Amino acid sequence: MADDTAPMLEVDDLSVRIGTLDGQLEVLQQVHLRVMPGQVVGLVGESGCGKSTLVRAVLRILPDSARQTGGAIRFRGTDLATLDERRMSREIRARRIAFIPQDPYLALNPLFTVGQQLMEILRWHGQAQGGGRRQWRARIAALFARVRLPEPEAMLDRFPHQLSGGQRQRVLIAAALLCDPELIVADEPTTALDVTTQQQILVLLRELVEELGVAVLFVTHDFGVVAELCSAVTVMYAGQTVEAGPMTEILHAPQHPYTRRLVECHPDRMRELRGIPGAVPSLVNPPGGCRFHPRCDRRVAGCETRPPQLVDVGGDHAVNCIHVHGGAA
Amino acid sequence: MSDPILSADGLHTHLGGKRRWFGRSTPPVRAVDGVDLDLAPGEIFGLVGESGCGKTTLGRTLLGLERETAGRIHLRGREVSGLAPVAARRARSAVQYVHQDPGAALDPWWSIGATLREALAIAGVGGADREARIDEVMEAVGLPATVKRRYAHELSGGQLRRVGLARILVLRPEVVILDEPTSGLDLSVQATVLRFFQETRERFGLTYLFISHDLAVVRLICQRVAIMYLGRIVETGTVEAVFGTPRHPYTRALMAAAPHPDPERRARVPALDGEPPSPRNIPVGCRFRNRCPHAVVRCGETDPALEETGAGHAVACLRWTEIAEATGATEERNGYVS
Ligand SMILES: Nc1ncnc2c1ncn2[C@@H]1O[C@H](COP(=O)(O)OP(=O)(O)O)[C@@H](O)[C@H]1O
Ligand SMILES: Nc1ncnc2c1ncn2[C@@H]1O[C@H](COP(=O)(O)OP(=O)(O)O)[C@@H](O)[C@H]1O
Ligand code: SF4
Ligand SMILES: [Mg+2]
Ligand SMILES: [Mg+2]
Repeated sequence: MADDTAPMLEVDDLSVRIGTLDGQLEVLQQVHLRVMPGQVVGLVGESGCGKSTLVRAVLRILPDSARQTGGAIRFRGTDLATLDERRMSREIRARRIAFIPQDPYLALNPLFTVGQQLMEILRWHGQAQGGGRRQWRARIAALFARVRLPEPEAMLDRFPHQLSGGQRQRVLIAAALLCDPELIVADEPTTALDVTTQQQILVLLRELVEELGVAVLFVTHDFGVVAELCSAVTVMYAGQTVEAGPMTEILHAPQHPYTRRLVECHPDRMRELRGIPGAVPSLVNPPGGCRFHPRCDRRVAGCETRPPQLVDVGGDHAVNCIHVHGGAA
Repeated sequence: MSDPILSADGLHTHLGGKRRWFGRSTPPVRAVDGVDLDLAPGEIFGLVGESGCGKTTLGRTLLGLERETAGRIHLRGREVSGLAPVAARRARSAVQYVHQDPGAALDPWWSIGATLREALAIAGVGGADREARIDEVMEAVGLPATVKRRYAHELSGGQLRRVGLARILVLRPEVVILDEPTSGLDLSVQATVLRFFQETRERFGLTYLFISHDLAVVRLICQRVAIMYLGRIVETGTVEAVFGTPRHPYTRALMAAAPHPDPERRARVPALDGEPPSPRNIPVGCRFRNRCPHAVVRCGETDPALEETGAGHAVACLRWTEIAEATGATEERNGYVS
């Protein structure tokens, strides 16, 4: 049995660079993230802050132009950088770390039925041996029923375009569960859905987490979704981790000025129509010091020059702001 | 309410559909299926519902881009329905539409300035007047004049929303249909864009039909709201009335489905199962009945019409009084009553 007090996934001071026409983009820098066994962690931040890049780095599916330039990603204690692509794809991806992407339509091949596509995953991981066609069909149909797809038997023979958006997302959840993973990474899987369908999917995911004990890293930009599903949250800004902590603390007592403003932008929390002034900075030439300082309402002299560090404030809570570790610096 | 600036009575828009001599006929999509609507001058009126319920088609019909199958539309008291497409659009030039994705609606090869000039040229405004009007509007939407030389792909999401509105403001509209104007925007930008819409409405004396699937946003900026389901408005009223005492089971479900940044309000079960049926095949009787937790036999027999429940509040449900009595206490517990 694996150790349940050690992190399942640990991203430690990760940096990733992408070569673009504009030069080298330091897309991730000083990124820290931890997912404990059975925990659901929300990864939150404005678009372009590097959430999908982090997800790709964890799954080791970064584009060729990208390079990990520092730090480590450890899964159950193993540095994923030490595994070659063959072992990654045979032993880890889809098998121990499953992925649910944002756009289920792009993730499914339009030329094959959804049943054929799930069978292919089983075959790739050598789990389809022993037992005929009928047996694997029954296994997938049972999963389809579990994710509450209507008419699970008939669903096996449908093509992706014959399904609604919500149904396609359920198929991808079933695909993620196929090999009994330890960790599911989901990149904004409900963003494109109606609230009613989104709620159905969130309730389903919560049931599955409780039932199977699987851990989840859930990317979202909606603190409402975080409250529905997660027990911990990591907030990113311009490629860096700015705050990480228990969900209730992040929602009710955020400490980083960025987190505080972002939570207040939720229409439920908004006291007046006020966003965060300014725009997300360019990563080609990010602001010196704290990357948030040009937009920050608590800026002091040191913010422009001294890059703050992520500091543990106790209770599994860490903050990257001069006001938190100012005394210590 | 003062005389409506724009109104629809019994509006139907049926799309596609094939009648064949042989083989199977395809029934049309009843995208708009009996809508009554009044916009008061100067208000922001929210139109909410799940995707596919007919919001965009209703907007396009009001604009005259889609021809109504039945029903009447009045603009400032004058009938503007029953016209051929070109005449319909001309009669409704005071009504303009802002596309959901302004980036996609802009020609990538045209600069923003050229796009605005084209809009005016089509409307027959030329010469010096044209440039002056463009500059005035650019200033009003908070875009620096240099943006005129830029192309759509060079602008941020928030800037594109401003361009989307600038593009129709140069035409001096009275009624603006905003179709999901903040979808795809980060929450940090959404607030700023909403405020911008509000300020622009005041400055130019506009009336907005604000199409959205986000109840929380509608609650923030609209005065009145209509909830749409499968081509029909099932509940409408002031924001206070509809959010304070929602009467239709669908409205209640939508509210219960919205995620709140508050773990105390976690839903244990989904508010609504399944998905809406196809608008090609709308259930007989109440169209919500196959998803409604309160449906009884009579819901399959009578198609409920909008019925007044109180001042400025109407609902289309056969059982609304019974449901209100039975759930009166629950309403307060759930925090619906504000
Ligand atoms: N393949 C790529 N080539 C160039 N830039 C990229 C590439 N992928 C991501 N980026 C850039 O990296 C930053 C982070 O992007 P992403 O990880 O997709 O953010 P998020 O998922 O938070 O929206 C953005 O500025 C984006 O433009
Ligand atoms: N040109 C068309 N032909 C046939 N059906 C259409 C057409 N345009 C939209 N529809 C259908 O009409 C219904 C209403 O669509 P729409 O007005 O776009 O809804 P919403 O804006 O609320 O998402 C949907 O079922 C959609 O698939
Ligand atoms: S009329 Fe009947 S089915 Fe329709 S909403 Fe009311 S109770 Fe539900
Ligand atoms: Mg992303
Ligand atoms: Mg639409």
